[in-house]
Amino acid sequence: MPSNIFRRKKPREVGPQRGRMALTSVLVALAFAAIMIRAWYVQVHDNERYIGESKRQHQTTVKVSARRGDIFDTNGRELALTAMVPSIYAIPRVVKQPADLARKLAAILQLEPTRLQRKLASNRAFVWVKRHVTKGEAKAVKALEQKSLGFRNEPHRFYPNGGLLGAILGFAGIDGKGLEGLERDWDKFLRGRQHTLDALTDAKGRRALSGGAAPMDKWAGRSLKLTIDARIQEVAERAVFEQLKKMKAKSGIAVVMDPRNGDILAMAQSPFFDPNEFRKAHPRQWRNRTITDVSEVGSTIKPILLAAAIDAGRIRKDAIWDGQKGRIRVGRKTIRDVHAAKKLTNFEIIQKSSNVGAVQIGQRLGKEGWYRYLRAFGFGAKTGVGMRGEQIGSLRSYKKWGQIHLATFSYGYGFNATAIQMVRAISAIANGGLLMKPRLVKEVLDGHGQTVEQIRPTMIRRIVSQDAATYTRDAMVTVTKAGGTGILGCVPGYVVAGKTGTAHKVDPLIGAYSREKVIASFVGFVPARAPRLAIYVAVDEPTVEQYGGLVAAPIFAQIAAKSLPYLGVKATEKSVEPLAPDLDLDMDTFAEEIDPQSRPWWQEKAVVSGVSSHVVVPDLKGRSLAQVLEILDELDLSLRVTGSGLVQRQHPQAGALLPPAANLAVSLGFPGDFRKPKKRTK
Amino acid sequence: MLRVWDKKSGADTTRDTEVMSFGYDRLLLLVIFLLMGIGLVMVYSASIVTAQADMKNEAFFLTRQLAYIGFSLVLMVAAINIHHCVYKRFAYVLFGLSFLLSIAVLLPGIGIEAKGASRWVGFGSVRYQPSEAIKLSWVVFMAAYLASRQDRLHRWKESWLTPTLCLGAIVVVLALQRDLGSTVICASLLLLMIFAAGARLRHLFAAFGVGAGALVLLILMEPYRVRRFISFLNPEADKQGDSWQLFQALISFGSGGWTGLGLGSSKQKLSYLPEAHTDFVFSILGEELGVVGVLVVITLFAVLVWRGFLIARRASTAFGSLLAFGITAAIGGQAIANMLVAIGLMPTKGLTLPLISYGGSSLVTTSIGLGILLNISRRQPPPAWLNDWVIDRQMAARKPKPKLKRGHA
Repeated sequence: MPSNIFRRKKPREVGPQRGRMALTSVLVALAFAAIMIRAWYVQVHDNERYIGESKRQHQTTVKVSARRGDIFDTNGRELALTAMVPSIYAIPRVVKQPADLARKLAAILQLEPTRLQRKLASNRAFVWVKRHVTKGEAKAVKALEQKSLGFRNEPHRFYPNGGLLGAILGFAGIDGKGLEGLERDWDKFLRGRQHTLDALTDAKGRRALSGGAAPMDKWAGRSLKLTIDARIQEVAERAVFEQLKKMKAKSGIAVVMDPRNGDILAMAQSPFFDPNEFRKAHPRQWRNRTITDVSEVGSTIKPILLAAAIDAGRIRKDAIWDGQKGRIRVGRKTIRDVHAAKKLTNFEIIQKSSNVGAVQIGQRLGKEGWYRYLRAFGFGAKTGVGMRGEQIGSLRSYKKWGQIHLATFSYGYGFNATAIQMVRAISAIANGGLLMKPRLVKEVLDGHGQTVEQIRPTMIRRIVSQDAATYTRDAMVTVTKAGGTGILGCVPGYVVAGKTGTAHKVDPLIGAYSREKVIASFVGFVPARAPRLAIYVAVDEPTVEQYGGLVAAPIFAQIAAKSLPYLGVKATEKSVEPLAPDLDLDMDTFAEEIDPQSRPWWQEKAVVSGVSSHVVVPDLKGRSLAQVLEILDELDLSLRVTGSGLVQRQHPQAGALLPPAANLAVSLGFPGDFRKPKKRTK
Repeated sequence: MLRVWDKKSGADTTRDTEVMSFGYDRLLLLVIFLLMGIGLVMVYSASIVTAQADMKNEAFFLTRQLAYIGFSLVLMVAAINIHHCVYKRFAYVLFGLSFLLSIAVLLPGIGIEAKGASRWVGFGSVRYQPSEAIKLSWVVFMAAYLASRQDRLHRWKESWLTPTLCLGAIVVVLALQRDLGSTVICASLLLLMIFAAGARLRHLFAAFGVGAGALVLLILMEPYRVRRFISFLNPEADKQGDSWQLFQALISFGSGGWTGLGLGSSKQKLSYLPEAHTDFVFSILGEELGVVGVLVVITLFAVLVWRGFLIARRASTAFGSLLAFGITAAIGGQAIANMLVAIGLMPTKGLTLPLISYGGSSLVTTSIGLGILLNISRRQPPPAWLNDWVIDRQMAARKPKPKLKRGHA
């Protein structure tokens, strides 16, 4: 039976079609499978590409400067701090009325309206309006409610004690980089590290740090704890400042050291500057004179000579020296004493500051001996105080000494030293013959105030025997007793060992010692038997009085008198009424020898050639070009500059004499740019 | 295999006590809970940034989604316990009501406008998107309509005419709301349900052609759709313009790798990807949980669809079968559409990922649908008070019309 092929074989099922539903579920399954395959393709196969795209749009880096460390004095008093202060910036593109806004801002911030207007009218995306403004200024600017202005908190360096310790602390610039003083020399520690953090940016440009909280404490700059005692520093600065005014002097310095461990307790200088407003001070005032300025030592070297001679066994303690009527001939030159004496004991040489006696002791010690002792006491070398710009003074080898040099060096002429070298040398006598390394920074602290590094007092070597040191001390004690040149250096209640010095300055313009210009100095320690303070004081070009015993000794006395009770040192002596020099004392007592005829060795050439207008080349190393120009401004030299940065090399070297209008070449660079080629060993 | 409807008459026969069961599909319920849970976590993760920035409360969307889930579960439990035949009784009324609600969107005062389109009705913070209700009631309407004329479906006037006209009305209303996604879903449901109900394939293909043409017309009508479509074809041509969203979704999805960046570690939710917690939550899921997470979610949806179709095939009534099929297809289809958009295989539509995306309207409506699905899985006899009505209709259906003389190829 033929069947009709167009006819349904089976009658069509009525009702929902199971087969079609199954087909639908297959389609759905296929769709899910397709999604899965595509998901795998996008997520795994193309993963890197999309991660790259994702990072490109959301990942940015943010530079974070760690907080700069603080500086504390020995008792934890803050000397330098960093605080956040607002800075104001503008987005000039958004500024609608630059003239109007500039006028308003200028009124609040005390800026120049025209310059500000030019800034605001520019098409830049960002300009600083004023950085580090006060809270009041920020508030007033905020009140303007300008959308084009923004505030950003920036770290600002504060020196809460103003001018106190200014030159030692130095200062940090607006971007938190140490520029001078300890701020510069310890910048590596103080600055902390700048870090680049990965940050997330959302589509609206807002940022968030991705790696959780940044370990800012870990990166924070280290804090320094100094050996400086701010109280003693204050006393010292005040004493120097006041005496300077009284004496109408050019400048003055005082360094206080604890002879037991070499801790520097105070480094005062006047004139001083306030690091908070360092721009107002002349760059010449920024330097720490106690380490950068060398001067003729003068008679303050005599105790060292005595200690050296005793230690070397070249003289007896009970030696009696011929006074030679106050004059002694060395070669063609005559060295004089103010007070001619027939006979002199060792003590009297120190007490009266006898040049004639000193020359004789020096001759006993010999050139080599004296040279070696001077080197041993740390002259002609860096003290290791750890600050840049430290000078070593000039002390040439004994092999080049003539007899006259041995003679003048014996009473401190012809070579020079820094204050820090002097105070360290005298500390060695105070502590029984030990040369200490001066210590200025005693602890490095981390962000939490925990000690990270301790810098311990360092004894370098024994220089003289205990016996020689004690003997010298006793000699120095006589200086502040009746008849001594440093009687004004006595401190009521304490036994003071001291020595005065009055040295004529070398006048670079005439290449010889100046008659008028002197450096009055005083060096000593107190209490004599168990010294706690060793102090060196130098006053530059005092005009009212000139002798060290009159100008510098009172500063010493004042610092010691105020510091000792503070340190808890009990007075041992019966309190004596303070001396009134004007009433009782003969001015003659203080008179010390000065020898204007002799010349410093490094000026002899000029003298020989008869040219007195030669110029002494200053030491320019480590200075910026601006500073160099400033220094050379006074001198008749023409300058040739190569490179940029700080002075690394100069030619001729410091101390050389140049005819007027000669060339001076300096190479600028940054530390590390110039390295000496290594010596080849055969 | 259980055949629960009368093949010959095509009428629902609920008298077959053999197949009666009161247990609902527990696997489906588990899948629903799992998807809701994943959704809650993902909504929280994807919305933190936006919530923090705009609402000053990072848990803003989380707490709201939690409230929606709670409300949805209440409605779902209610739907499980209401016999689905009730909807057959009120199918046309329900459809009419949801249609009116959709029109109400366009009335000022009741309609709430956001993002250039008026899609919500409500007062203050309580708002509802009627296009979701349209979708559900459309399924109910289609199921009721098709179930009541199973024996006449081979005639295009019976099977196609009324639904197509109704769809036309829906298209107009939804087009006015600029809701292309729901329009496509409704049109697809029309095709799928008529297909499943047993219409003739040649009618189906013809209708498919017409539908596709209409879709193209709709796309061309609105310039922004043309743009979206072009951007879909070449998503990386213009990264800053219209394809921004699509490209960002792809970046997000593609960053995931095998196991993802880790929950909460999405970078793209930092305002790069718009609608991260609503329409594009799947992209964030892909970014944070990787292929593994995507596989889990797809598997769950696959199980959901499988159980749904199984319920449809096992349903005790033709209406129930079609209703279950329609609900499953609507949810599964919307899930597929959303995922295809997220992985860059379809232009952006504005469709949520059911049960996972943030949004009360979608969640509530989907949950009601799933509640109905679970009710169908129970295969209960209709309540007595519906008997008269159901039997009346069945009787009407039992009598074939005299025009029907022979079957059709």
